[in-house]
Amino acid sequence: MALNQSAVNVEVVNGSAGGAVFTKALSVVTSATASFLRGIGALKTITSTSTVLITRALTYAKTLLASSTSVVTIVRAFSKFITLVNVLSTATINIAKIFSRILSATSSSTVTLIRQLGKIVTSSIVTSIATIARKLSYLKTLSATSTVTATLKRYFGKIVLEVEVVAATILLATNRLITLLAYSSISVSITRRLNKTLSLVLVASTATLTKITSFVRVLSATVSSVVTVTAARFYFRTLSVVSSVVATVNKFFNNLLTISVNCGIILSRALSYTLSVISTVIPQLVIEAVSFVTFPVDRLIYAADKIRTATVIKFRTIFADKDTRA
Amino acid sequence: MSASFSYKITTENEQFTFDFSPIMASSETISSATSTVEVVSGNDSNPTDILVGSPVVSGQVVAQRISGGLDGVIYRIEVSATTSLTNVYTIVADLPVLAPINV
Repeated sequence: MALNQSAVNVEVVNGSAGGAVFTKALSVVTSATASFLRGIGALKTITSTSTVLITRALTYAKTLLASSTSVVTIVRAFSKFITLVNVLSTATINIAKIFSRILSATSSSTVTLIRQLGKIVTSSIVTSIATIARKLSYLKTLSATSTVTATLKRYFGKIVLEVEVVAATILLATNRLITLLAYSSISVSITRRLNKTLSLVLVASTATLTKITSFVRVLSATVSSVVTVTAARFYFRTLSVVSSVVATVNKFFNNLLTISVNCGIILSRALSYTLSVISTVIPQLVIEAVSFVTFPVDRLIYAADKIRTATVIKFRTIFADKDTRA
Repeated sequence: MSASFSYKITTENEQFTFDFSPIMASSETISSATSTVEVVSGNDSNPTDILVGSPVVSGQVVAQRISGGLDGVIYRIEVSATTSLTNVYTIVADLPVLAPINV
């Protein structure tokens, strides 16, 4: 920006634009008097054309300032404005081009930039353009009425000076605008970064929202699953309880049946054993009875006598042992 | 639990022997002995009347003479012996007494 500013100022200080017009004007003025009227006519035509163009530009600039809401619009309008005023000087065109580039480069500045730009244009460019218009109008009048070369030369000198001052004023405003745009470019960078950050935030937020949505879905599914599992557990427990009761009943009946069967088997076996014993004992009893009847009685009498004799024996000695000790 | 003699007829007078040898050491001897009588069943207000004299010590054996007694009475005879090793052993034995008509 500083380089641009320096270059523009040098160009302004040299006064190449104003110098060119001045030389051209001198050339016209110092030509023959006969050709003065023809030259004045041509100058009049040029001045008239320039005045019309500048008037249009001024009107357009005012309209632009009143209605512009975006920098892009300003850039476009400024480009059109440059097209309208390019007849003024090469320096102005260069300045305008630089200004246009800067504006193009910073076309995404903020509303503050727009306001500042509006102020600068209002305070400097428009004023300068209005000044130029007034001077040119004055030149037109002067050209139409002057008949003295010296006077014309002096006035042309003043006009050139005014043009240079106006150009310097424009350049000063432009420099301010450049400085402002430099800051605004930083703002643009910040804005871009902010936009990028915002984009990232948005992406992250979107991702987060997606995750949250997925989480909510998973949570919903989980809750649903938990409910389903809980219901299934309850159903399973109910079935388990029912089945356990049924199993217990079945087991009870099975046990009862088993016990009954076992009892039947045991009873059957016992009955069979009893019958077997009875069937065995009865014949034996019969046999013993028959044997007793047929037993020799004299032997029984002999044994009984021996037992009686034995009881007659008296035990008069007691041996000390655990049973006899007190 | 006490051991038991064979029954005694009320008219008999006999010597009953109490042998301590199974519970005494071979070198141990009886230094003194005492006898007492109690009624196990039946009625006899003076059961000690059946004891005749004092117990006689002979080695590891004590002998006590007994006579009389009432019919149908079971007496419990207790003989205590004090040994050379200062041990005191006691033998308890029941003695049923029957009248000759009930034998």
